[in-house]
Amino acid sequence: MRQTAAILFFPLIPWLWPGTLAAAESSDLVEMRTVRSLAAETAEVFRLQAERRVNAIYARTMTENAVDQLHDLDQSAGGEGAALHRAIAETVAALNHQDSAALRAIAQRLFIMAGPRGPAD
Amino acid sequence: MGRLIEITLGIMTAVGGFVDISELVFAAQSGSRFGFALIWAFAFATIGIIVFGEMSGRVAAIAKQPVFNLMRQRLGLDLGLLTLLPAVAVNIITCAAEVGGMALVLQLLTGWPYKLLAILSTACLAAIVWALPFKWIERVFGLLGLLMLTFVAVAAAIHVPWREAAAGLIPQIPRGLSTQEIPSFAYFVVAIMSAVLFPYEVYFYSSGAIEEHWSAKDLMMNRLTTIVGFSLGSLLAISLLINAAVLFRPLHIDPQLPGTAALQAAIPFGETGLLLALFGMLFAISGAAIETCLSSAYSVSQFLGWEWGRYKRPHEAPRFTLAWLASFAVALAVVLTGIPPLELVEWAVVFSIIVLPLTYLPLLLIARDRKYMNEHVNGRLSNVLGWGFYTVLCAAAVAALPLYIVTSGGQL
Repeated sequence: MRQTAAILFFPLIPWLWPGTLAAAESSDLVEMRTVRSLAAETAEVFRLQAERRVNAIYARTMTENAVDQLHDLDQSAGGEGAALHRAIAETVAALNHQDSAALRAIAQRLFIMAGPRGPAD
Repeated sequence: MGRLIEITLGIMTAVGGFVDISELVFAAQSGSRFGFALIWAFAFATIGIIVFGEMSGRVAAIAKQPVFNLMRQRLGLDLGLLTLLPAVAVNIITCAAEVGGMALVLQLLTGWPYKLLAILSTACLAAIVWALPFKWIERVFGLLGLLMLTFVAVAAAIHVPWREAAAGLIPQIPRGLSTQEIPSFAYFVVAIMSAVLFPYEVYFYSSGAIEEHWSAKDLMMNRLTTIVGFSLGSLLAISLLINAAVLFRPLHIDPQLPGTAALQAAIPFGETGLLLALFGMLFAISGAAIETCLSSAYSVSQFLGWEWGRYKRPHEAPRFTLAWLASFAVALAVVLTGIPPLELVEWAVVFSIIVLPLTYLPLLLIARDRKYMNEHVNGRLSNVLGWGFYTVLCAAAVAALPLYIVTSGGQL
């Protein structure tokens, strides 16, 4: 079984190794993009709520879930990544004030910092 | 006339029951991250599920054999067991993801706590499976899942560049991807194939055919249900992708949860659209939760030769009843540990593609065996498509785990 696994995975080693290193290096980038997505998503929720296009329960639950996710991200980042911690703190503050414009601005700033997920248009 | 209604209901049920939480998540994320470039992956995988779904229904109708009976006969006890254990594990992880998804959607509708809703949802599902006959379970959730057509209406209401979207049907790697992003794109292709071809779908479909006592006269319905029903169901998933590409991608929203996907409907249709989308998602995910749970019970019971079937009263098939109750209980326990549903979806998708080749091998072998199938044996097209897809699935199974590790579950 081990021999079979070794034979199967051997050709992948040169390809996997740089990828695994890249994964470790890019962890901050991934988290930054997650913060950006949460900021953009909640900005849209607040905009639609202001136009009475989504109800209060939906908007409140989406906000609470976003705050929970941001707290989890903050904790998992530990002492590393000052820029990430700052971005999370700013996003949580904007969420608490239901400030759609501030959230959009954060999302835009993080887009410039972290780049697109997927191909650039 | 009665037959026509039966066929129409069968097709509509297949459409409504096609999408589950993994397709919801991966379709929306694919559109948001890669635009229209992954539409072909959904179309390609849909042909695969049509081929294997039709084959499993035909084998069930003619050879009267569900998948796990075949597995034990064809693969032997050891290899059969090696398939059974991961298949049940994948079914339970998928069921947990669906229960978590239900709780998330209900939370958006009620504002109640997530874990309480997970408990209530599981209790409700168990009561429904206990009380309703098979056909009712299949039809109720399939038909109510048609509320998901809201997402097709969204695609019609927003301004989609249809020429660009149609170009997404051509297999491609989008331009502008960095060397780091190419493995992520490949991971999404594998994940979409896995989400569309989930093994529980054939376990449930073929067991359902036996529950409903299909015979040769049902082969036309089997063919129509798989071809028309699954194709239209796939359109739902593709609509989610297209909407995400048009509405979320410019805003840099990378949808991780069902609530974000529902936002697609609120943008053009306001609160009515939002509620229709949320209820559609709720019924589609609930149906999938029941299917995954029953699939675990079907698999174990068929493999071990127990009495099984929802057409029997619970006390007439006690070990089967205990098996599906235990599946729900374990799935709920997994949800209550606090593992996020998205993580469960990713595990389910990665591990199910590894199980898929073992699931489909005995099916392919029986479907071409004239001893079992008589004149209903695979034709040339079924054989070519079946073995062609089987080869692709084997390649995807080998690539799944390395891609998951290298891309941190497609996050890079």
